[in-house]
Amino acid sequence: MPRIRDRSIFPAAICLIFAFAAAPAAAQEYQGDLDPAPHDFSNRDDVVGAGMVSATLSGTTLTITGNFTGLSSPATSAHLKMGMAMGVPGATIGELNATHAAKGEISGSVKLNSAQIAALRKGALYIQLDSAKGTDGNSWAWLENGERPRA
Amino acid sequence: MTPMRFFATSVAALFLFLVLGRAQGQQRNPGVFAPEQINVGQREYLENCAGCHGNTLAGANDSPALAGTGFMQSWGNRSTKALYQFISTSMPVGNEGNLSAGAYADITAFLLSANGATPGDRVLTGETDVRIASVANGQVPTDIQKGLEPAREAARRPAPASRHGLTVAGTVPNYVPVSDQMLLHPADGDWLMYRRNYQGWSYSPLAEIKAGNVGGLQLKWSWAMNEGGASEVTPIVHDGVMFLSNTSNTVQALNARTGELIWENRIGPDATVAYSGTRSLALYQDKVYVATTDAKLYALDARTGKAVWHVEIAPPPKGETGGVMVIHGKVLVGMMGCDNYSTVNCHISAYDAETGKQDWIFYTTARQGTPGGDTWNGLPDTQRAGTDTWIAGTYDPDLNTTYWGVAQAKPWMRASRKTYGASVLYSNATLALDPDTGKLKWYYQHIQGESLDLDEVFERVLIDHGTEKSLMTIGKDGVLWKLDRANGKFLGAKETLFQNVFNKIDPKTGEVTYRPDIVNQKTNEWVASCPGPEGGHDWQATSYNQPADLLIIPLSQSCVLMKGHDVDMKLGGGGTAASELFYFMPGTHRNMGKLVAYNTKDMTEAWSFQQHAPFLTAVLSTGGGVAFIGDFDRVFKAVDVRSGKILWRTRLGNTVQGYPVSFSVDGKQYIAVTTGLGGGSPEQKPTTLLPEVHRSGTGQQLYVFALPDAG
Repeated sequence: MPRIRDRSIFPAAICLIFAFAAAPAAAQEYQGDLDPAPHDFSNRDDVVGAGMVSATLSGTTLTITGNFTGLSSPATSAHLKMGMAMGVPGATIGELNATHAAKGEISGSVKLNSAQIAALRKGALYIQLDSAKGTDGNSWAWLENGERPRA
Repeated sequence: MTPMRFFATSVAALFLFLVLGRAQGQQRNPGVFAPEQINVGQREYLENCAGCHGNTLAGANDSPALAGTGFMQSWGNRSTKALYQFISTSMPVGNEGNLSAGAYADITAFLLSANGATPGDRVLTGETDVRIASVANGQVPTDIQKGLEPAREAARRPAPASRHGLTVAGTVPNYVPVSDQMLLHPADGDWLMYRRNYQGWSYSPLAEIKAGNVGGLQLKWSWAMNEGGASEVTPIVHDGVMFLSNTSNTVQALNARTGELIWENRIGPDATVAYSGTRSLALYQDKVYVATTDAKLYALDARTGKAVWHVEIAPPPKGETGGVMVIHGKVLVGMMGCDNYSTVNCHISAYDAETGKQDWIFYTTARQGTPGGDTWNGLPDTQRAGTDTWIAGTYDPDLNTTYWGVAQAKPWMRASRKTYGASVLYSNATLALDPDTGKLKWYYQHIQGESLDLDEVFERVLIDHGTEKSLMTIGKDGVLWKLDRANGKFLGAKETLFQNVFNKIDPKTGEVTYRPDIVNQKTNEWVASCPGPEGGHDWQATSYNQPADLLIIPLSQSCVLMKGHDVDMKLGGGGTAASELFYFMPGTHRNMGKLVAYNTKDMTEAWSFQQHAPFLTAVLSTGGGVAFIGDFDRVFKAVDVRSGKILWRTRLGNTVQGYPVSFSVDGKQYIAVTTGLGGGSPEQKPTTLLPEVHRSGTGQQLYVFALPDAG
C-alpha cells in the first residue's frame, strides 16, 4: 500500500470524517411504496393504484414527495399519520397536498415533535392517500429507512 | 314493600315499558322485503352460503356469523344496500358476483329475516336502503337456531352427484402389508404417511432427479380429481400403488406408474364446505385409514377399497381434515370444527387399527377440574371452543412420544371469548403424548392467550444433532421455534419475517410480550396484525433436507385489521367472530410469497427469495438436492436446496395446492403434485390482494412428472 506523503491531506480527512458523522443528523432519508389500504374482496376494485413516496427529515421538518397512478377514482387528500408500530394504523399528525386526479403527486412538509421523530425512526409513520371511492384510505405507504423495525 | 318503594318501582317499570316499547316500535319499521323472499333467499343461502357460514348461520373458520349478536354488531349500523353490495360483489367465495341480482336480494332478505326482521309488502332490491338495526334486532328464529336442513347441492364448486360406497371395484395385485418396521424405515421409493417419515421431514432420499437434469422433467400422467370443497391432499404411495384422497371423502387407488384407476370408494358425504378436504390418509398392514370431514374414521381394505369398519370420532358438526397417523397399531386422529360452543370439546383420540375400538382420548381443551382447567378465566366447558388439531402429528420411536400442535382458542379474539389475559390451555401449544396411553408427557405453550388467529398448529419436525434431540415448528406468526423434544425445554426462537404482534420474545424462555393494544383489545375495535391469519407460515409444510441440514419454509407476507365481535355465550354460539380487512405487509413490495431456508443447528438463514404469488404447497426436498414447491399463480418450480436458485418451472391448470411427494416405481423417480382450490386464509388473502391473478373456478387435478425414459 503506498504511503501518504502529503501531510496537508490529514486536516481535510478529519473534516470529512466529521462531515460524515454529522450527516445523519442533518438529513435522513425514508421511502415507502404506496399499496392498497386495508380492504376486503367487496371493495378491492375501489382501492387500486400504486406509487412511491420519499421523505427527508431535516432537523425536525419532514418533507415528503411522492407520486401515484392507477387509482380508480380521483385522489382527494393525503395525510401523514403515526401508528404504534409499523403496520399499525394511527392518527393524523399532518396534512399533505395531493393532486385531485387518478394520477398525480403528493407533497408537503410537517414539523415533527420528538415523539413523532422517534416513531419515524421505528417505522411507525405512514402516508395515507384518500380517494373518492377510498374515503377511509385508498393507499398506505409506510416510511422506511432500510432497516426492518419491530413492534 | 313501602308505599314509596312501590311508587318508585312503578315509575321505573312505566319508564322501561315506554322506552322498550319505543325501541320495539323502531324495530317494527315497515318490512323492507316481501314474505316470499324469505323462502327463496333461504334456498339460495343453503345452496351458496351455508357451506361456509353453516346451517345455523353461526359462521365457521374465516366465515363470520350471519345471525345474532355478532352480525348485528358488524352490520347493525350499516344499510341494507351496503349488505347487498357486499355479498353481491364478494360472495360466494370462488364464484363472486355470479348469482343473479334477484338471488342476492333474496339472500339479503333472508339474512334480515334470520335476524328478527319481519316482512312487509314491498320487494327488497339492491337499491333498498335502510339501516339494518332499524328493521332487525338480532333475534334468531328458532328453526334457524336448530339448524336448517342442508341443501343437496351446495358450495361454489359442487361435487358431481354420485352414489356413495365402492363405486369402482378392483384389486391391487400383489399388495404387501405395511408393517411397523416399514413405517419406521420406509423404503426409498415409498411415501407411506403424511410427511413421509415419522419425523415429519417431507424428504425423499430418491436422487435420480438432480439439479443438473431437473430441467428435463416431463408430465407422465395426470388425473382429474373431485371438484368442490378444499383440496389440500398428500398422495400416499406404497409399492407402486398411489392411494389418493379426494374431496367429498373419496379415496382412490391408482397405478402409480400409469395412472390407471384400480378402485374407488366414495365414502361421502359430498363436499358442502369450501374448507372440507382431507390432507392425508394412513396405511397400516392391509388397510387404508381416512378421517372424514364429518368426523368419522374409516378403515378400507387396501387391496379392494371395501369399508372394513368405521367409527364416529365426534358428533356433528365436528370434522377432521388434518389426516391420521398409525403408531403401534393404533390410529391417532385429531379433530376440527370446534368453532362453536358445544358439549363436546376438541380432542385427539386413538383407535385399534384392526377393530376400530377406541383406545384413548386426550382433550386439547383443558376442561374444568383437569390439569390446566383453570386457565380459561372460569368459563364452563361448554364455552371453551377451538384448540383444534388440524395437522397430523409426528413421532419419536426412541422416546416413544408423539408430538401434536394445537390451534388457537375460539372465538379468535380474547375480548370476544372473554378470556382476556388467561392462557387458555392447550391452545397454541406443542403436546408430547404417550401414543400407547394418550397420557400427556409435557407441553409447551408458544403463545399464551393467543388473540389474532395466529395458530401454532402446524407440523412438528424432529431433528437430531449429536445428542441434541430437537423439535422445530413454525406458526402463523412466522416465529420458528426450537424445543428439546425430550422435555419441552425452550432452545430458541427466530423471527423469519416482519412481525409487529410481539414487542419481545424472551431469549431464555421464549415467552412473548404482546403489543399493548392487543392485550387491551375490546370488541368492535380494529386491531392490526402483521402477519395475519394467512401466516407467516400456514399448513403448507416445511421440508427438512437432512443432507444439507436445512429446514426449507414457505412463508406468506400479508397483514390484517381484525375486529372481534361479541358473541352469544350459549350452545351453538361463539364461532370465530371477527371481521377482517387485508393489506400488504409493509416493505415487501407486494411480494406475498417468501421461501426461506434455515440452518437448523444454529437457526441462521441460509438463503431466501420473495415472489409476488404466495406458495400454496408444502415443500418437498429430495436426496438429489432439489426442492419442489407450487404457488397461487399456478407455477410449480424446482429450486436448488443449497442455494435457492430456481432450476425449473412449469405452469399448471390452477393454483398448485397440496403436498407434493416423490416416489419410485421400477427404479424410476416420480414427482407428484396436485392443483386445488378452496381453503381458508391462504386462498382468501391472495384472492383479495392479487386481483391480477386470474384462475379458473375448477381444476382440482393430480400431475405426475418424471425424467424422459432412457433410450
